[in-house]
Amino acid sequence: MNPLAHKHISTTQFKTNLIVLRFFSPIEEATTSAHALLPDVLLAGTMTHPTRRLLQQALEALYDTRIRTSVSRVGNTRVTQFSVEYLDDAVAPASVTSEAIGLLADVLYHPYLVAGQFDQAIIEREQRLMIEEMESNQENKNYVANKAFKQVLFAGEDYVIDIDGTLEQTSTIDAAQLQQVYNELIASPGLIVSVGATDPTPYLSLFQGRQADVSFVDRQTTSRIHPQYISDVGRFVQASVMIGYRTPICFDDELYYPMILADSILGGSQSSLLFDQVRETHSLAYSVYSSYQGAKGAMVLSAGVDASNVQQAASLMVEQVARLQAGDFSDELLRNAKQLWMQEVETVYDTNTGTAIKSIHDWGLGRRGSKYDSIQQMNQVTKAQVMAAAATLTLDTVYAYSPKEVVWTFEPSNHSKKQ
Amino acid sequence: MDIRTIEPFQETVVSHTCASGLSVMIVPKPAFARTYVTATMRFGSKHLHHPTTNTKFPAGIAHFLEHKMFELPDGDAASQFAALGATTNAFTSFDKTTYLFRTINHVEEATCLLLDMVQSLTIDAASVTKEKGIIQEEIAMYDDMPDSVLFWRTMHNLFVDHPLTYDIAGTAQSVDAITVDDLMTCHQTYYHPTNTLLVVVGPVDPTQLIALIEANQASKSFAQIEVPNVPEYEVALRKSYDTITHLEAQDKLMIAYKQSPEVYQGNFLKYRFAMNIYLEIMFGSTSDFYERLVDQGVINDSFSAFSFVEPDMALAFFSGDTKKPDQLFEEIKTTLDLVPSKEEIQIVQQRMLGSFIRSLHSLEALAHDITNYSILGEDVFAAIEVIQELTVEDVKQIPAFFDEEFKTVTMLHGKRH
Repeated sequence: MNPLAHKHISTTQFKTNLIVLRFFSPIEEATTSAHALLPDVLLAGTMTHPTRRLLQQALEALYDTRIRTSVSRVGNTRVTQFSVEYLDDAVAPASVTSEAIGLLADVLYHPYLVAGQFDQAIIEREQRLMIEEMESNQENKNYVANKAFKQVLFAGEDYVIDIDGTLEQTSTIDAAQLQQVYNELIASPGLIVSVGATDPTPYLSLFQGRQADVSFVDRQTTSRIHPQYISDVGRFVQASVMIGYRTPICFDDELYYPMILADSILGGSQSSLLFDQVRETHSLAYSVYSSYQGAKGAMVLSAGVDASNVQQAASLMVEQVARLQAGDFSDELLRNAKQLWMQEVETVYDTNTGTAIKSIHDWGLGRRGSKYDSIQQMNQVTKAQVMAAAATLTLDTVYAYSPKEVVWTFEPSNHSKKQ
Repeated sequence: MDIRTIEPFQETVVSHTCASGLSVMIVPKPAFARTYVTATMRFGSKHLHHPTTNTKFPAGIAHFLEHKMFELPDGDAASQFAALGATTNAFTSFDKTTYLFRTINHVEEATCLLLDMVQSLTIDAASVTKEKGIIQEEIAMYDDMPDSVLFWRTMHNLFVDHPLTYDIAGTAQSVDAITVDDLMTCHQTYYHPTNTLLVVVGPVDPTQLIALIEANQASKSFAQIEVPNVPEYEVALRKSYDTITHLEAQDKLMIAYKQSPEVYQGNFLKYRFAMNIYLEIMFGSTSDFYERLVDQGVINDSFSAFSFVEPDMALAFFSGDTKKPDQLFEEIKTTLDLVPSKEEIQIVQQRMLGSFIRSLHSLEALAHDITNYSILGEDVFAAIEVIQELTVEDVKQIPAFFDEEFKTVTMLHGKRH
């Protein structure tokens, strides 16, 4: 293997330097939990700092140097990320660059092993912590409702595989499986982006791997002729209404920017159609929004409402999509949506993490244009294009997670038959 | 206009008090695209006292007023901020209400819009009634969060007849009791410019911006006001042990200690950092306590130890999911008898210094730090010196805070298992 491809973004804007490593791998159900657990085990100790406590103390002594890990997904690609952030020499009481990067390399390439294997005691402890975290996620209504909704919306598709793993699978992970996914991880295609005043290139030969060449788009879609109406009964006080639409428009589509604006107009701000109607006009919800998933081609509408208002809220939410599709929104709303998006793009570069992630994302998509190119493209989007993007939205699933059983009675006007 | 250069961190802070009494602090950040602006009123959930009568407003009134401030005579403020390319939001805490916006363009117009928004109130009975439904859904949302329920029950048990006993949003009943007159009175009293701090962090010209703010303030008139003081609390507890149940929860334990702010002996800032360092060393993620109890399955990543060391509030909390509450209870009690070493203190001081320097490149973190310290009459940049100068003796006095007589324990029993 060769050193991972590296891109440095030089800036004196930040007090720290940030190095982000990303490894990309396909999501396979059998190893999902082990891949999710692996970063926790790696952070639990290295050969030079054999416990999590010793490792964290070493990082604290380097003026709050931070090593972070995450496992996420873009489409059907798993993204395993490691990062280290440390004070730049210009503001640090003493230089920490070499030691900080060395600690990240230790985490990745010199994990704490006993007789050449991951330590069973560490695995068991991290398994237990992960299981307890999964159990505690069940306290979060939005988490529970989202997860249940995803299971029905994407049933039968790979997208339904939970990147965080499952409770049952997590409890069966052993040292051999962990070793297998570790070997897979460090052999995965990857890349490095660094952001800061000091180019860390001299230290980065420590990080080896294959060059990344992955697709971020998942076009696998279950055909559904009629929308499905589903509800689950939960024990929370408040109900969640979630409505899923499908669209063929993904990151790489020419209507991608119009769809971003459609999402913003529908439920992306305090001036949006959903916010105005569901919250401000009808006082049905405190939280209501839409969310477009550009890697998958889905739009999800969500609101937290009283159980007695589920039908009314769902009906209103679907109505707002119909308004969007009919172009029943003001030019001012479109103009504001553009302004807000352009601000978001600009402000991404006001954080080192945002700068790194945007750079990686564009790199992965093969985009070579600057932020000004994308701002220009966004500026040129017309109302007709927003309507064209919105017209691709097809109602797929109407779902409620409610303390009371919901018998769906409303029928949106553009779908005459209810299943 | 006062201009200070903070040499070690390469930052400049411009301070100014307008003729109206409005305080302004600006940190120019020429390398950034975005500007972050906050307007903060010293008006939080603990300010329930009527300025002229000896009565109290319904709990949650500061939070309710925060919701209503976005309604302007010519439309909603969020749309007007959006038209300037700005995103806006607001939040209420125990001691303050903060309104904010972020923008890359039209900073001056948006700043005037923010000031105009917080310095006028246009409401009627119908809009107040409408808002009650929204806030009651917000309260219902928090009622579904077991950690939130546990915290507020603990606060309830810590205080007797004091505003801090109530949830920041109030209750469904107290929200229902709020009237137009209540809101108008609170606005006239607590949103006065002398009770307001404006903080701007971003690529701005401070001289130009201050001139604009002065002109904005000169165009308005403000009545003389006297802001009522928040009463001191009794150290005595309402309840020292309590249990609650929550349908969708793990078992949780929260232990809280209360003291009189007199415990600071006049230097709350030094005490605050000594407390933070003590809790970090003894109970933080790199402590022996944490590592041992995680290994034994007593606690998990949900465990935390935190404090409120404010001029008028002295509280410390231990909280987390646990399947072994008795052992956790005893382990906390035993650990509170220990004192950290000089070396341990030095490492945490280094971490806190690094963390502070790091926060300087976050517009949001910097604006909030400046606000949090300034409304208490302190200087965030001086605070870092206090951290560096803390001694072992300062930290060693902290265990005396934890008096068993002023401790309340709340157990939340989950029903999921």
